[in-house]
This record gives sequence, C-alpha cells and structure tokens, in this order.
Amino acid sequence: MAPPQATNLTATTPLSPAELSYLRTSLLLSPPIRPDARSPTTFRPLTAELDILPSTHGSSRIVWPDGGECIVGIKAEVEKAVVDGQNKRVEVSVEVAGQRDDDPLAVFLTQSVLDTIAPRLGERLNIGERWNWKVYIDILLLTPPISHPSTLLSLGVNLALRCTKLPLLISAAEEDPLFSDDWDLAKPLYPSNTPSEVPAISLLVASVGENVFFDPTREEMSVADCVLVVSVDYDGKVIALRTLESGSVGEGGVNRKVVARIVSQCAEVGREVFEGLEAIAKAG
Amino acid sequence: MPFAITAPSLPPSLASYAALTSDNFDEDGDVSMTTETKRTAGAVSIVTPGETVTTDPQWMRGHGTYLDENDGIVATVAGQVMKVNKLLSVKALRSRYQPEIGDLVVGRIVEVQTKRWKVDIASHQTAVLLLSSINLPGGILRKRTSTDELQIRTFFSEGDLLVAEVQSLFQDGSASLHTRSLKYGKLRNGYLCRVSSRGIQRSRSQVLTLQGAFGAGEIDVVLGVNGMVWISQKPIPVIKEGQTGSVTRLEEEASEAIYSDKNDFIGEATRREIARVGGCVKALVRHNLRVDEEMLNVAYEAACEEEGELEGEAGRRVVEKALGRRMGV
Repeated sequence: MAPPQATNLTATTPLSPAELSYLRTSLLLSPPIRPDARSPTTFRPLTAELDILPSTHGSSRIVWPDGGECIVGIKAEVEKAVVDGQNKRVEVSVEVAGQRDDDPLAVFLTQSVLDTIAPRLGERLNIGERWNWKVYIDILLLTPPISHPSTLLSLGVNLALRCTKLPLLISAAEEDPLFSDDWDLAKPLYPSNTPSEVPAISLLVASVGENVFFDPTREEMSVADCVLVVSVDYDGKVIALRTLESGSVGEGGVNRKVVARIVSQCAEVGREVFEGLEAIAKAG
Repeated sequence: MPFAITAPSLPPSLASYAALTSDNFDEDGDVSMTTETKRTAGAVSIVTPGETVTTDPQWMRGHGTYLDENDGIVATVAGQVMKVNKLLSVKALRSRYQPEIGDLVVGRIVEVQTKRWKVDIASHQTAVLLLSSINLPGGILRKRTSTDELQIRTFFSEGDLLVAEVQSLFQDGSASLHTRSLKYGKLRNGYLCRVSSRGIQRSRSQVLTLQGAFGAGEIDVVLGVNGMVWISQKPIPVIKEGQTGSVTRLEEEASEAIYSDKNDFIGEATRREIARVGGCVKALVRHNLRVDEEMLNVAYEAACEEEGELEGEAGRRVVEKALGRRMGV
C-alpha cells in the first residue's frame, strides 16, 4: 500500500492521553459507542443546495452541521480535441480558505478528485469529431474543517456535476461546433434517466480494532488504526483506495480482514449515499 | 437513517417553539407575546460591516466601529448597535469568547514554558496559567521550587485538558487562570464537547451532576463559559479499609491523583449516556438556546426517549420537548 498521505491533521494540538484512551476504549467496544452516539455507518446530516452560482454551468454548496462547508463551481470551455487527451479534459482546483495553495491537504484533495472522476468524465465531453469540452472544477472549502473534508468535497463535486448543463449542439458532427442560444434547451451532462453513470464518490472510513466507522470526526481519526479514503461508483465497484495518516494510539497497522470488510461495507453504504444524492438532485 | 442530506432551511427560532407550546399557557394576555408580534416588537437594529451607523457628530465611536471622514461612524463587524450615553458601539453577533474575571473555563494546554503554560480557551488570545497558580501534589500550600519548574510537564503537558477559573485579565484582554481549588485541575474520565461560547449561560454553578439513565452512573458536566463542555463520569471516592475518612486524608489522596492521565473504569452504559449528554448540549446550542443546569436536565430527560444520535430531526424533537417541559413548569 502507498505511504500515508500527509494532511494538516497533525498540525493541530493533540488530544490529552485521557481523552484518547476514553475514545479508543469506547470505539473498541462491541457495539461501539461513538462520541456523538451515531451508529458506525451513519453519516452526519448534510445540507446541500444546487445551482447556486448563476454564471457557472453547474454548482453546489454542501454543509456539515459543525460548520465545514464546500462550494463547487463548474465551468466548461470548448477546445480542439487532441489525440489521447481524454485525461486532460478535466481540471480541478481546490482552495482551502486560509491555507496556501500548495498546502498538502489541497494538493491531496485535488489529486483525489481528479483520480476519482476524470477518466470517466473525459469520455463524456466529446463534441462532434474534432472538438471537445474542457471542464474546470473549482472547489472552495470554507472554514477550516473539523474533520477531513474528502467526503464532503467528493459529494459536493458529485452534486455539482449532476446539475451541470451544457448548451445544445446544433451543428453536424464533422462541422465546427455551433450551439443553441436557448439555455432552456441545454443538455444535462448526466441525464437523470441513466443514474448508474453518475461520477464516483469518495468515502472516508476509519477502523479501530475490528470496528469500521464511516464519516469519522477528527477525534475518531486520531485514535484509529487506519484511515482510508475509498472511492466507489454507483455499482459498488471500488475504483480507488488511499491511506491517510491516523493517530498513534494503537499499535497501528490493520488486519487484512478489516480492509476486506471496509471494502465490502463501502459498496453497501455507497449505494445509500447515491440514493440520498439522487433524491436531493431531483428535488433541486 | 444512515445517510441524510437535506435542502437548507431557516434556523428554527425560539418564538416558533413558544407558539407550538402556547396551548399550555392560560388565557390571560401572556400568550400573544410569544407569537409573531414578539419577533418584530423588540426590533433590534443590526448593522453589517461597512454600513454607516450615524453621521451625527455628537456620537463617540466605540468598539466595532471606526470614524470615516465622509461617512461618519461606520460599523466594522456585523451585529447589534449599543448605546451607552453618547458612546456608540457594535456588539458582534458571533465572536470568540471574551474572558471575564471569575469565569469557569475549560481549556487545553498548547505550550509549556519555564514557569507557565499557554492555554487555549477558545478566546482571541491564549490564556496563561502560572506555575504558582496551580495546586501542587502532596500538600496544598508549599513554596514552588526549581524542582517543580524542571518537572513542569508532569503537571500539565501539551494537549492536556483542564478546568480553571479566570483570575485576572491583562491589558490586551487575555486571561490569567488559576486552578487553586480541588474543584479545578486536570480533566479525565470523559469527553470534551465544543460549542459556541454564546451557547453557555453564565450561572451560579457551572458544574452539575446528572443521574444517568439506563443503568449508568452519575455524570458530571462542567459547562465552561468559553463553550467547552466537559462531560465525565463522576469520580467514586475510594476509602480504603482501616483508614479514617478524615477530610485532610481525602484531600491528600485527591492531590496525589490530581495529575494522573489514567482513566478510571467507565462502564458501557455510562459511556453511552455521556455521548447522549453531549448530543443534548450540541442540539440545544444548534437551536440557538442557552445551556444551563435546568435546560440540560429537561433536555436530557427528553433525550432519553430518543434512540441513536441527536443530530438532525431527533435533536429538534428533543429541543421542542425540553422547551415545552421547561415552560410547562
């Protein structure tokens, strides 16, 4: 497995030994007791709204109850197609409010969004034979998040892409592209009748002993044996798995069986998350 | 529901809760105060940064404002305009905790220096805790020696949580703390819950004990005025056989364990209830209520009827029930 990614987690003041031991013992119990009384697979309730930025092709805002907030805007541009250029059709920029742009967290998040969605999104961006769309995904993370923002960010990107609309092409495939002026005719990038093609999402998972926790808070991450970011698509297929830095309370290291369980649970939980996203995307 | 995602809604206000529970009141004019009229009647003037408060030269500018040549007194923060005689100031709607002498606060050590600690109390500046303002183990009154200075980390080190009182304030508004009472000192056996400092009511006693439901033991709650709430198992005093339970003996025993980092045994039921109390505090603050002893008691009572976590809809139900019970009394 690749070495753990550095995040700005370690920069903050550590928890006291008594707190760490309390948390770890609570999370090791069976059934575990999370500090906010959630069940292991429960996410914190999220609030989201779509299409908030009028000058973008698609946008979303997604908020955690503790104040972490993510705004995503998507702009598309027409460019001349190049051979094998599919992976360069998506550009992602992440700005973490109050941090430098070469902050390891921002770099990590940019790369993880790109890895998760770019390959399959690139295929959808053809315009006729010689042209294609280039998509710019700009992400702003407001308020330094209390927990690792990768889940929030990936859900935000997913929602923004779902409500992205591109102008209707009215020219023939071999001509230079010409688009309809009527925005009402614009075609959605992900039509709602093909739900299984939506972009993949990343879920943050932590394991403490034999227990697996979804959407862990910073405290839970600091006592975890391992923290993984698992990207799953609509069919429950795992398309990426990254290791994040965790605390150093336990002996560290993680059992093969636990990783297998994380992966299988991600498919199940991922399905529920996709259903939730679909509901909010339909509602507006 | 494992995953919930909703569209944004307006934050619930106290007035709407009161309207919900207004059936409990008798029919003399009190009820009308709690409905829509109340929200508009006490109209407070809210200004935003950059907004001119007044151009009248008779006013003096106070905190949260600046004097502009053309525009007169301009607000620098979003908040409420306060007038004291001819002094005009703007009190921010949201701000960090501002320490006052005598406040009970919960803090976390961020830095250890030679004779003092720097403590994060969620204020603008870190607070200071002097080596001379803590209780040393093994005797309450003793002179601080250089040995104590050398082993300063055995008392508190980085990351440790403590409960303390604000002893004095410096010129810049930062606080100096003290823990010279058996009530104060290092915290263990529990969990820290952080909320906004305006969610905690300053009251006569900031420390309260709840009787845990479902077979849990007693739970101590320290409501730090700075918005840090410590929820822990109430320590069970151990009196060894053959010893007289004299007061001084107890004090000595306490002072030996005072800087321990080890937790006592905490049962599963108690842990579950500690999580529930934390959920109550967060739910109350999220609904713009202030937490004090009475409020937390009724909220905890209501929360015992709910299953699982108190975020989202369940938290709302708990807060509504708690308010209803409190007003019904």
